[in-house]
Amino acid sequence: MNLRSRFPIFKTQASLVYLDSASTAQRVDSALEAMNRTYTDINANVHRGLYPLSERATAAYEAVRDVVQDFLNAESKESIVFTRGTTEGLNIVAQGWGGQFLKTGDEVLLTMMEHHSNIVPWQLVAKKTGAVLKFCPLTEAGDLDYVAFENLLTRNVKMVSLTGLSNVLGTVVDLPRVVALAKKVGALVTVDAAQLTAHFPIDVQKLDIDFLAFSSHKLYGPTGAGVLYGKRELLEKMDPWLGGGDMIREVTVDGSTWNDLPWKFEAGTPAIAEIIGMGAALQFVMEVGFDEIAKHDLELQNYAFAELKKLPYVQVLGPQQDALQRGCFSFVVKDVHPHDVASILGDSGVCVRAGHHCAMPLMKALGVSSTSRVSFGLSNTLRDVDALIEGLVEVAKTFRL
Amino acid sequence: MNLYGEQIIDLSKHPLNKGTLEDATLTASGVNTTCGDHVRLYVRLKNELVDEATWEGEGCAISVAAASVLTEEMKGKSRQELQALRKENIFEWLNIDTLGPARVKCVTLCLETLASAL
Repeated sequence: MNLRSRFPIFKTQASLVYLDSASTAQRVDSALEAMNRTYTDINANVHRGLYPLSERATAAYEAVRDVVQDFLNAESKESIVFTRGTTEGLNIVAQGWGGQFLKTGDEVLLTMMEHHSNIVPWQLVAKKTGAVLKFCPLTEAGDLDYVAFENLLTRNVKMVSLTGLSNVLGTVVDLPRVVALAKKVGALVTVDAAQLTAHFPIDVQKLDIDFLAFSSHKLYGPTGAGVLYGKRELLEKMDPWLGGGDMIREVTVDGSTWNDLPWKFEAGTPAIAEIIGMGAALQFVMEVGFDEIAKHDLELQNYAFAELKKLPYVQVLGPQQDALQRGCFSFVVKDVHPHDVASILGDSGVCVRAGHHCAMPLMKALGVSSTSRVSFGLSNTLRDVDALIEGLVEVAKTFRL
Repeated sequence: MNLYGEQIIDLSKHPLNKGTLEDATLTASGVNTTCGDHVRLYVRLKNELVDEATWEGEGCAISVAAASVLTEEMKGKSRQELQALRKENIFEWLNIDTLGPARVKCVTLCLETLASAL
């Protein structure tokens, strides 16, 4: 499958080898066109104007909710809150739900492979509420330690908040297993789906997930747009997150009442064009289909693993099994700092991420200060892996390995 | 342009002045928050001049090379002379023409740490 032509960046950057989709993906043409059309054809504020142009903008904006509902198989559109991205979604859950309902001694169970955006919001709310954070470790192979998970899951755990797919190791989390265990002790489950949505289909009803957050920009759509899914009964109980226009029903000098779901959580003029662009990007992903995406991901990663095995100075971290790893992997080059690796690769046009990947607790657990990371998206081809290998040979030459 | 000249590679493989200094007069630590590189500087002054300078830490080849040449060049200098050191000095010592904004911090980390020690 070669979808490279769907990504306009390669028209201006023909030789670009982009292996950093887990950080932010390249944008698909249809998302850019949808955004542009929003500005050129239907530009007006949503939910406000009584004139046809605004009605058209509102209709296009609200139509994205149908797309998201379909994408997640959500039970209703009221469960789909538009956000600026995963970070905002997780903050709404932590500070909104957590700030309102967590009490001293309650526990929130996270994992050692969380992105900082699924740690820090909980630390903030733990400080305010007296709740306790616990972190489930990983096995040596880089898989989630499900035995430890079960042991940590006491009746005090009110929320399990975890990634569905590690942004560092590419570790796939067995969500049905996690949710089943959590429900047994009556805990809610929040899924950081920032990475997951680009690689696996999600059915929030079947999985019985309580909250789930993802970003448009990791799904070939624009930055500044994302989704928080929440079960309706939970969103209904929660106070609004931001106050402002559009989220209210009535405002008097004595107080206000809130708008219906989902608009209760959408204060201010939203990123209208970006959200409409996100809708087009989601449609692109669904048109490609997750069976094809899985085939594409596995072809790329297995080719990369096989080629990297030939370089004795490269060590790949993580499970490296089809079922347990997807979309990205971390690696280290013996005696070369990851920043030097990324810098030399960068000079040959190969973009990889190096650093702690916003997952410093995981780096500590892995016993490294940083790694280099390769991540794949629909814009990649096997030639990108070849370029990576050539670049790594150059790294070895430079450092006389 | 290849940033990784012979000298930088050599210094990254065989850093100079690496280690702690028990009787240091001045010490300071610095961290590059964007990449996690960290350095701790040890300086021993004798008659108001640097008698010995060492460093400990972890970082990329550029930051290891920079800490190596900085501590080497610090020896024999007065506080005033240390205060006058700029990143351009390190560029010169390491034969670096220019560094992009993302990598310039690799050079300045040890220098900023020195400034905080003084």
